[in-house]
Amino acid sequence: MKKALVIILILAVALAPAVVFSHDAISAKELYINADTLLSDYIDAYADLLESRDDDISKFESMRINRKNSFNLAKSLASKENSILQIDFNIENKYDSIKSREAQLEIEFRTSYLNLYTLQKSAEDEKVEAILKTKEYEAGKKDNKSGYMSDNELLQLEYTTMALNNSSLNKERQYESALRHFNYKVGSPLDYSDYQFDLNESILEHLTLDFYIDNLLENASSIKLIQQKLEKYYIEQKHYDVYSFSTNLSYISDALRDLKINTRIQELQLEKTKTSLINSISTKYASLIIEREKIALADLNIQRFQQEYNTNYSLYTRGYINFTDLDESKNNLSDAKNDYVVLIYRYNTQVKSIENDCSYYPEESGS
Amino acid sequence: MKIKIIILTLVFILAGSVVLGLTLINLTQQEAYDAAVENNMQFEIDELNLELKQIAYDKTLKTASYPALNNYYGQLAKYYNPFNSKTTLTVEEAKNEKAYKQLEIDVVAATISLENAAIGYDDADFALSEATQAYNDAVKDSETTSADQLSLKYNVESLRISLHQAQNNLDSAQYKLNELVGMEGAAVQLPVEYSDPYNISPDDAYENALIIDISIYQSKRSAEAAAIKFEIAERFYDDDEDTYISALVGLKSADLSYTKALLTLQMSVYDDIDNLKNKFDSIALAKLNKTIKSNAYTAAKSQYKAGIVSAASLENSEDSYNTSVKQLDAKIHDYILSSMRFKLNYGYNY
Repeated sequence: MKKALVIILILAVALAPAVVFSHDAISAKELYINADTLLSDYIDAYADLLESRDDDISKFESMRINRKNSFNLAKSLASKENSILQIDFNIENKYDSIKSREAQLEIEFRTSYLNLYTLQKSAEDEKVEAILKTKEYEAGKKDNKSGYMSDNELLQLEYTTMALNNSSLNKERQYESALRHFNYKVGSPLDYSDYQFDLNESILEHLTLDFYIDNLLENASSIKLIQQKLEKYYIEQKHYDVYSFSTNLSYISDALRDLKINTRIQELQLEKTKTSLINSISTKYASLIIEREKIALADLNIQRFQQEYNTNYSLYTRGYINFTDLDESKNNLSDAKNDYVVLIYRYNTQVKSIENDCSYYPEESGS
Repeated sequence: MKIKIIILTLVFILAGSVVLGLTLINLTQQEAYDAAVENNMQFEIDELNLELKQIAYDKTLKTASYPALNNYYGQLAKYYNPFNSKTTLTVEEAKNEKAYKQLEIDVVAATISLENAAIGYDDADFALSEATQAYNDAVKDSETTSADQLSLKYNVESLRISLHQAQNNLDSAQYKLNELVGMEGAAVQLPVEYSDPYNISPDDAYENALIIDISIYQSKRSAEAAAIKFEIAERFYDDDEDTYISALVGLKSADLSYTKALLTLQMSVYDDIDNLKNKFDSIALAKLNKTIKSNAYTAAKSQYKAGIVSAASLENSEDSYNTSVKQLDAKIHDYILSSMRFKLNYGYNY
């Protein structure tokens, strides 16, 4: 069963690039995640650990037990039990690393994707403004020739036109630079000539703080690592408790003293880590709630600009305002709708981030 | 014993507060520091780690006390390893000692953050109540359009979120202080006294820093350890030329690192003194601003009584004055924190 799983995993890793580059429908997110070499390393190492598990265990099971005296016997038995335990700890930890890395890459991807979208939109908006200003400048030149505009006014207009064009070019370059970085991460250049970013998502409902804290305390890798160390120390102590030996010998008393100190350090560290993680997740959760409230506010903003647009449309059809005023309120409404979509996307990213912090993966748990 | 008395006093204060239904526990800076020392879990971890370092050092000394083999590695175990182990132990001790002093700064920093968060909360609360009043007035006013009402409602909701954020900041700041001193609802007195950085002698400060700075001690000991290693390698040059060359390179590198560390420290001391002077000067500027705003507010009050200025104008003057007071407090707190850090880092009191 385990061998079959290993073969499937190895095949999945080996075939992943072929699938990625041959399938047009593959999403940018999958490309981004699949191109990560660290994740590939984790998957390889995990497969190796699974494959060698039985052999590794049998090596320790046949380990020679030192029976020179009762202390060495206890030490040797503890070492054997802990070595076998460590094999499964390594497998579990590597699996956790894979899940965490995948989640981390998805969050990174979403952040980069949103950044690209924002830069593209900003570059497009600036370009439109620059074009309009250039037209105004061309008209200004004619007005200047006809004597309707002074040289100084024309010079001022030339300056603002040039500044807007420079700014537009700057924005375009920023977008191109972000694209280059994104392509570098993806591993194969995508065609962005008329790429339509799609941020539309439904709102992910977050769970309760208590739920996140419970998950955190149970699954966070930093807590697990300390608990694993402690478990090994407790096993060692358990074996020392079974056998009786003289503690007058310095090497025995030293070993027992070191074990006691190290156990206490890890116990304190565990308590400290738990407090610190709970504090950190609570702060993050409080920010998440604020982000959720901002979505409702953005919805209210849409209603506000929708009402303004309806009023202006009515005024425009009756000839009270010109098209430019109507167009401005249309743009305001469009921006408000856009802000709403961006806020949901950003909020959803935060939900995923808090889930990753407490090692909760809804897809895996089937919820 | 002294700490126990303080802790007991604090417990009585806490119990008294609970009985009276009070939520805040007022502490002097010293009481807060003592409570923080008692409550700090990291100190226990540090002490245990120090114990492990002491054990490692003792083991190295024990090994060194046996007759050593007359070769490079035997001599390293006898002379070089105990020297390095002693460095590690001393550095650990110095770090622990500094951590205790650092805690005093942490308590003051957390108190300042709490005070700023409380000011932020009050401002947000005031802004929301003003906006809510404006919205309620607009709802009652039949001449206000529905578009304007919606706009005011949006403003109220936006400020409600700001207040929520301010509440989060306040809770978080209070939590950090509570966690530091190990009690709920702690309120610590902030220091008000501060000294003039123009009294600092840069050369004296640097001389002090040379004695107290842990990284300088480490660099110096590394250079000395490299010299011991080189001396041993030189004695066994005929046995192993490569080791001799490697030890020579190590010695040169450690000497350079030490020289670099001295220069870096000197630059830091001088930069930090300049930084303190800048902050101190900005306090004087903020004081002047407060005086100007105070005069304007006093004048506005008289003018309002005489009917020369409106209530809104008087309110603006009052707001400006209050802002100038907050700005001055912020500058003083910022300077006091920087000054405490300077004294801790360089062991120089002024």
